[in-house]
Amino acid sequence: MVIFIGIYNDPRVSNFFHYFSHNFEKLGLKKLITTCYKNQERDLFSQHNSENAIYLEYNGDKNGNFVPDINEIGIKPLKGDGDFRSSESISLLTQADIVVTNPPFSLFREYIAQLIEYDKKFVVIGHQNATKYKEIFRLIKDNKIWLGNGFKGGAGHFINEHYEDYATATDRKEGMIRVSGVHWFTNLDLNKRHEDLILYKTYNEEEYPKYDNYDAIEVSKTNEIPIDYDGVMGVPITFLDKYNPDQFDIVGMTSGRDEFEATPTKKYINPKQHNENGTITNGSKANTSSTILYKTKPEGVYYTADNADGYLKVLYTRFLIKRK
Amino acid sequence: MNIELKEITIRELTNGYEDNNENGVVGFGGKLDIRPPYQREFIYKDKQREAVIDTATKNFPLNVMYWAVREDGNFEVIDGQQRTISISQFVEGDFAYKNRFFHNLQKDEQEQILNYKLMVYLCSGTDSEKLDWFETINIAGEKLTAQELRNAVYSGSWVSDAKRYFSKNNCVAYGLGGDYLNGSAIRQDYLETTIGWICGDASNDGIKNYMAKQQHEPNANELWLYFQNVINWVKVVFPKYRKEMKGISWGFLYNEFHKQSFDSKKLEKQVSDLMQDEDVTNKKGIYEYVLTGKERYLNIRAFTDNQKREAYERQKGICPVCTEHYEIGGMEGDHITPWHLGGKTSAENCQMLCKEDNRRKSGK
Repeated sequence: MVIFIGIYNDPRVSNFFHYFSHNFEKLGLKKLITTCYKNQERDLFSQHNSENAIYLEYNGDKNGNFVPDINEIGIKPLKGDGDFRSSESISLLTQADIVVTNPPFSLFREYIAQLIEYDKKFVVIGHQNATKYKEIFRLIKDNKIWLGNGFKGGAGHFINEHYEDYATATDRKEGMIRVSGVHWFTNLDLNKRHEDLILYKTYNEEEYPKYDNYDAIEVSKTNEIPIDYDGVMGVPITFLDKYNPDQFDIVGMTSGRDEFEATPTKKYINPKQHNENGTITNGSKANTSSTILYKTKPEGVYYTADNADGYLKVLYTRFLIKRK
Repeated sequence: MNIELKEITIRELTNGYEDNNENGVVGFGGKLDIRPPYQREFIYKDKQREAVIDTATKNFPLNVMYWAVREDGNFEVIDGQQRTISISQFVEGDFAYKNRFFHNLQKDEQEQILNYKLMVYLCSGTDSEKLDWFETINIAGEKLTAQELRNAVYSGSWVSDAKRYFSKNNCVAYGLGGDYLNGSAIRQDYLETTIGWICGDASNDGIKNYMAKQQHEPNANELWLYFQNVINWVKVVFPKYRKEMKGISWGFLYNEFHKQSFDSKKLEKQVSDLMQDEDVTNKKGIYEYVLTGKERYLNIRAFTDNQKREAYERQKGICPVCTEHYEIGGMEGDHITPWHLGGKTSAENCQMLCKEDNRRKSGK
């Protein structure tokens, strides 16, 4: 099995490379390849200073000390800067059986698209919000990718010694950055996907109000999905961590788009946002979220529209699901 | 009961080691539940963890460990969970000992650790023999609770399924009934309580018998349905929630009263009045009282020594019922107007009766 890691900073501090190289024999790997994006600094093993990036290749322990030594790691120059979209990087990618990496969050869509295009198995880190990107969401909805075993407490810890502003909740360490809402995205199967979410609540109208602009009910907590409701339900995006494709179908999300099965049932005309300080601003958010209609003025920020007979509350993005 | 000593090398033990957090920890080629799914986690401090590795690298003996032999031929650690996990984590490369990870050790150092022999007692026998024995050895270190031991002994399809409902953190039993039950899911408190309820006997024997009967049932639907019935019944009979409702033996009340119909508005009024009654010292007992009518649940406030002394002197030590004279020690305080007829625990409502007449009066 060949593992490919794309690294976009200094591989010396890459725990990925460390982990796979040190467990190379244990995991039964055949080859480990990692590229390093435009590493301008002296690199890890020799004075290597250029516009060009390098890539490392490790083929296992040769001298019997079970530790990857400098002379066992092949360092090869790349012609370009190691960008994952470059033909060099792609030709390395094609050698890989499994890709494990922490892609730049800003290029997450493109990165996943490339992995899908080249039909690769992968385990990559991404932000929870990426599940709402329409390209990524479509892949999730079609069961082409899913969430892996999450980070403990939904937070990833990354080491980056060049990063100034690091902050952690409790675990402080020099150069450590804590990023919350981080997930593994993968297309390798895992047990978690096949475990039914056990439910205990039953449907009633008070607890599960209907949206005003979607033909679905609001379920504000994943474990409170009613056991006996056959229609469409809006659930928090964190539901994905518990999603079992044999139990539920995902039929859309409340982003105001028309490209998935569950689409908005109304478009608000002239929507307005009423802020707590009394100001009124543009309320287009009412058309890109699901809303609940109230007859009396609710607490906090609310919305109105010409074709809404009351006050609207706008909810966070919901994924729309249906019982199988 | 058969206890067989077996030497297990660390190599064998850590083969196939997998830590799935809440979903349990396995080792020994997948045949050993080091920690079964949804069971609380004992956490060794770094110092303790290092002490285990220190012992193994010096080839000194670690204390014996106990494994239960299951019906299917697999095993579960009864004693030695943290030591096993410490060793496995080290071999896995999860932590460094003396600044070196396992994979940084020289080949001979690694071999020395992998070939280290652990002394393991394999315990097999009938369920009750095993349980007795585990209760005996389970006296040192991090103890397994009674229910954790029972889960080990009666392991099988039923326990595995029941744990999905009752033992996971944030399990459905917690979601539905967490406000009504004491304890925590992962410590098996919910499971223990509910089994006690369904068989109407919360003793060790009662729970054992039920688990023995259920052991090979394919699922625990019966228990889960029962639990839902109990909690839903409570919510119908006492729709207004108060924190005093947590930790009452609801299952026993359900078993006794669920076929009767109650006027929940009337019950609520009763509960509310009793909550305000300062003579009711056990507010939790109000719920049992309004269903059973048994005053003892309420711990009606007793007369103080001063109130009793004052009444004794007023009566000059004479019991008004049998008109005999008694020393104060031979008499007891009594509500002249009984509490349930509105009599208060106050000086003017206190009289002293001889013990015998007091018992007769209260029908004790």
